[in-house]
Amino acid sequence: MELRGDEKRIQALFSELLLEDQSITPRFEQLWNSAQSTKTVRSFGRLAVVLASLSMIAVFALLAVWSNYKSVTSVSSVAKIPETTKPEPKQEILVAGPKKSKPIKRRRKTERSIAQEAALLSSWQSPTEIFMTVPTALVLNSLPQLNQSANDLRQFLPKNNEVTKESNQ
Amino acid sequence: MKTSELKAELARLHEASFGWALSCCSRNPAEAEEVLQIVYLKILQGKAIYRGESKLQTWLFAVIRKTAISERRKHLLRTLKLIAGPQPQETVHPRPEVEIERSEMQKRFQQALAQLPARQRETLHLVFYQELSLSEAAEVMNISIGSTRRHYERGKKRLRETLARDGVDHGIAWRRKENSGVIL
Repeated sequence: MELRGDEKRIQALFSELLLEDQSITPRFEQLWNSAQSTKTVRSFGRLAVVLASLSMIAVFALLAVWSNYKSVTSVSSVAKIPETTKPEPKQEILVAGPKKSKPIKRRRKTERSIAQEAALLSSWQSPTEIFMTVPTALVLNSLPQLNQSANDLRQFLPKNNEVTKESNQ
Repeated sequence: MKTSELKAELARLHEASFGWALSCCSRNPAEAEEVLQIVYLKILQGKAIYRGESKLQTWLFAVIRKTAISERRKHLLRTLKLIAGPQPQETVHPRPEVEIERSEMQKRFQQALAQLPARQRETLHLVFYQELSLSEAAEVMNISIGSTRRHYERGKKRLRETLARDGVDHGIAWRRKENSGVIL
């Protein structure tokens, strides 16, 4: 690049400026090392942010699982109560079930728990049912067959002492 | 290019890089240092990757220029209190002894340079200070070579006029000829 007169003067002024700048130039190693340390700090900071967000997600997931588990156990415990105390719990539970609108993911579990509850209710027996049974229930609930032998048919006949009692009365 | 090789090249270009950063940061040494450190950080983080498509110097100068512009914008926004962040650093003035040492002519020259539009100042700096060709300067500034040539000619003319008006001739009269040749 060939410079002319005024360009040479500008060049001279810029050269002087260059010399001045060289006196205030920081060392390369200083800037490079500080950039490297900043990089390390930033990467640690980024790692900390990632770890914090991951732990937050884990906590939320655990909370969700725990609340789901709790709701399932509470429903099953409610379903067990009618066996001992409450005679008509079915209506309460059926009303209590669809009260809250649950997320889609939890709907299946809720349906499953309702089915279990229904099964429990169908197998429920009243505690006073024992009073409805009598010793002659077998006799009363069955009929003699025509092809049964006479000896077998005797059990359907009143016994002698019973006949005498009735005649006395 | 390996990191060790790149580091060696950056070390070789460090003084020139700092001079360019100073020019991009209105000759504020603290700001220029910060910009250069950010540039090195970008290189270390892989945000600025040299692909060998141009000279390393022109690539590095382009990165420095972009970073300086972005940092200046951030500082401007901070002063307008639009974004939160640390308070901008005050302009660092050179030490008094340096100020005394600096010649009167150099002071006026820097004042005249500061009065130039940014593009003209950048072009003159790249051509006269960094001794780049006009095509390389165009690459650094990401403009066409025709625009660079225009900035070069206009900047040179304006600088000459300003210095002549201020009497910075040092016994040599500035030429008034406008038909200076094209440097490529």
